[in-house]
Amino acid sequence: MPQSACFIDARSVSRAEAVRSAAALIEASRLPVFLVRACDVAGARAAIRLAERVGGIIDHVDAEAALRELDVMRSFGKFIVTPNESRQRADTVLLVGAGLTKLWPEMVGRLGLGELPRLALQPERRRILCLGGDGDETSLSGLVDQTIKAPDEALPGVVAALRACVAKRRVGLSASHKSALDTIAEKLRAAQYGLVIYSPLSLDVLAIEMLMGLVVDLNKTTRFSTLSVGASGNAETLMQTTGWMTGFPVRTGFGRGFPEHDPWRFDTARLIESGEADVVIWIASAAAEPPSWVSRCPLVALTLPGSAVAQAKVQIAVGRHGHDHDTIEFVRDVQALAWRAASGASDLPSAAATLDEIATSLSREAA
Amino acid sequence: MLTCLRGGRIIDPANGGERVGDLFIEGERIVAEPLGRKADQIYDVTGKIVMAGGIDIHSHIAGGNVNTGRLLLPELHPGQTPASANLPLSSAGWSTFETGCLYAKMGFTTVVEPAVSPHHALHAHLELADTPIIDKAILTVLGNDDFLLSMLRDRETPTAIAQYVGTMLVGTRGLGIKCINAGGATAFKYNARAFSLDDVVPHYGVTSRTIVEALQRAVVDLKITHPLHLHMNNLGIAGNVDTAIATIEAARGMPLHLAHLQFYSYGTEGKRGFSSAAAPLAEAVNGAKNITVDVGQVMFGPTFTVSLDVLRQYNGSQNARPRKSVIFDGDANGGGIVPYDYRRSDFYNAVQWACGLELFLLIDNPWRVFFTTDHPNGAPFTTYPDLLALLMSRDLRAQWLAEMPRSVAEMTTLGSIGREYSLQEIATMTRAAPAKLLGLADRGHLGSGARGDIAVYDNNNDNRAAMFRDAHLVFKDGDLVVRHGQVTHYRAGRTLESRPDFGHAIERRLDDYYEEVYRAPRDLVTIHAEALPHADMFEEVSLRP
Repeated sequence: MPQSACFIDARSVSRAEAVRSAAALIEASRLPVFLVRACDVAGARAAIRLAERVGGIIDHVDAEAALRELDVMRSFGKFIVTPNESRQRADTVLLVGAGLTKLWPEMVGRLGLGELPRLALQPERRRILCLGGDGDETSLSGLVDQTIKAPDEALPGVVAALRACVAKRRVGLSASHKSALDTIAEKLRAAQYGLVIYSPLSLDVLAIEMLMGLVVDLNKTTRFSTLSVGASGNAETLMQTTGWMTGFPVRTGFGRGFPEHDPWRFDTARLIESGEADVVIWIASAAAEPPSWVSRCPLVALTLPGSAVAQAKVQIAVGRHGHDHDTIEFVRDVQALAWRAASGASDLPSAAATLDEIATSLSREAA
Repeated sequence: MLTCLRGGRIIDPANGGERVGDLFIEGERIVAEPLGRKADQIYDVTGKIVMAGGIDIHSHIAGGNVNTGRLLLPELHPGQTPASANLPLSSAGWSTFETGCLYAKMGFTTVVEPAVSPHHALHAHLELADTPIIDKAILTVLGNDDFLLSMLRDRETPTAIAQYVGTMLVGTRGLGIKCINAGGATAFKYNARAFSLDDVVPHYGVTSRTIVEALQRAVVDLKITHPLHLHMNNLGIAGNVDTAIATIEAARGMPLHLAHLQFYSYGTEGKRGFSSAAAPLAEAVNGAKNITVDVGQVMFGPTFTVSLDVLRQYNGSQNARPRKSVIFDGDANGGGIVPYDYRRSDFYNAVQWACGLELFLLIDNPWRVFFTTDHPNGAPFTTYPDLLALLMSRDLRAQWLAEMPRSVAEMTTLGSIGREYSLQEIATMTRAAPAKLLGLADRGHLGSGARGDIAVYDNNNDNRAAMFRDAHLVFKDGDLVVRHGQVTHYRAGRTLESRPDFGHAIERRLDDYYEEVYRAPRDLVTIHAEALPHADMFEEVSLRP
């Protein structure tokens, strides 16, 4: 695919023409929204710089789950451990909620759930406990020590009851339910280093907060921490970058000349629904389709070549980060930003370079 | 272009002290007065104070844990003023852009981020690249890492250890080596709740003392100018002055820098069992010429504490204000982020404040005591002007002390100390001495050949805080970046690094270790400069001869 795979109203145009047209759309906009689906740190930096310059908004299409995690942190606090440390230390692992290994298919291998924890004082087979789900974690077969089945909607109550059992408080449960939870509670208390795995996709804010409360309680006598799976690593890449550049996470707007963060006000779906947003800049330096609700607004789409976006007013081809060019993005294994060489380096411009080109095409008054 | 700062009072302790006269800048450097040439640009600074750009050796301004702090506490930094077009994001509270601007307008031109764990070095460098104007550096943290602890357990040679330390330093592009509660963060993963100098790290069977000694020696062997930068055990605990004094003795004459000493200057006297032991600690520092310290002064107001001493941060999280915190068990150190609000009316906080000032005033040599608040742990760096004013005025200290609980004065010696810092001593502590400590030959002074990093202040005797808050003029590399306390434009600062020579036999082993233990290439701890926004941002600092 040639790098000039650019379109205006589905008409093939030169890259320069597409960039100029994108700049004109953004310039004429009262409220441009930069909606990221996939980008690396360089792309995030360019998008934030441009959003600030034109008084726009920066959002991520997977912000919801990421902000759910963040809400727990900024209202209650958190215990976090890296997958690397988990693999080397955790002797007891509590999985909370259904389908965790589907959300993270490499989980069993990455966390070495079938291996001995290398740095444990007396390495023994890990004790794996499941709370919730319907026992369908097939990749865990043969590893699970005990399961308490529960549908997702019952999980907050079950987690609360488990916390009470760990703290040896009274709970209003039948004898058989209490006995099952007491057994798990006893195993958690006996851990040398315990790990709780959950997903913000299946737990709401209060349930995650209750889990953190359980971990706080367990840390009074032993060591415990948590690992969250399923939230978009790419949302985290963007969130880390907005963090140092603006002080805030995603869903931050620059309309008043300084960054303001508001998860409701700056939610792209709401802004399109209400008619406040009048252009969306869709940034996807990875294979992805924009959600259908985006099409209600004029769209500038930065996408991989070949992924036609029918509803785009302007479409500009960009390289896939990590493939066409080297990249830096959030890597869950180390819970940090990490570098990766291009796996098939090409001349395709990056999303970052394209956003910078658009910025250069703005007239000076757009500052 | 030749620029002349005319008629200022030049305070330059590294070059013989003080004079009134002209200072010339050509290009990026300070030059001797050129004979027979007229300056292209003249700034009349008659009556004003001229110093080299300030150097902060210990301020947590960048990295994964700092960023977690930003996200944890949105309520601490709401935006209020629009940024100007040529200073994008400069008004974004707590952003890297604001950090660069706020330092510059106080006349600081070089800042060291002192706590970067190797796996987060890339993140830190990305943030530093977005911190405009000032030059930066990181200290690379070792001492809780499985690889080093295993080497010590296996009694490997100092040569092998130096190779490992050198590989990590060069890979992460650090200026020096930091050690944080040696072994303590690892012991916490084995459920230790306290960890002292002679406690043993479970699984490895080595003590904190052994780790510190090995790292001290490696830093000396590698000829890194900055001595091992140590965050000792038992931070923040009543009676921990004993740990500090034992650590000074354990150094046995080898160079050692003790970070944020204020947090280790506590005795156990009084009905609350908490008192200042700053006086005996200052005496111990005065008697040990191999030791340098920075203070980590407490100032009052809301802030957050950020540290790779996860054990200490976990214990501190019980007193978080507001009550929320993040405890991160990372690869090796991890980190703890705990908000706090130091209150003037709080006995403990007020004693901490007094302890810091006592250390500043009782350590007699300004070449060995460094000016820090351990930003943001003791206070944000924006409190520096007020702190400088306190050091320069006994009366001001007395006024502050009078507003605190009376019991505070009884638990410290602060009220009895008459010393007032002179401008000469301030310039030594914040300019000349840090340049020497870090090995920055062309910074911290105003001699010919020095970098054109210059701060010009109004000489305001009545309000030293105002004087230091908004510099009259600031030059970075000879470029005027601040005028009347306002930043005029951005420029990209550099990142300073040390690149010691050492054998490379360890590298194959480390590659295998990373593949086996982290299942990732050693790229995790190898910064690729071309991946950063300014590939040419690094500047190599010379090693000890």
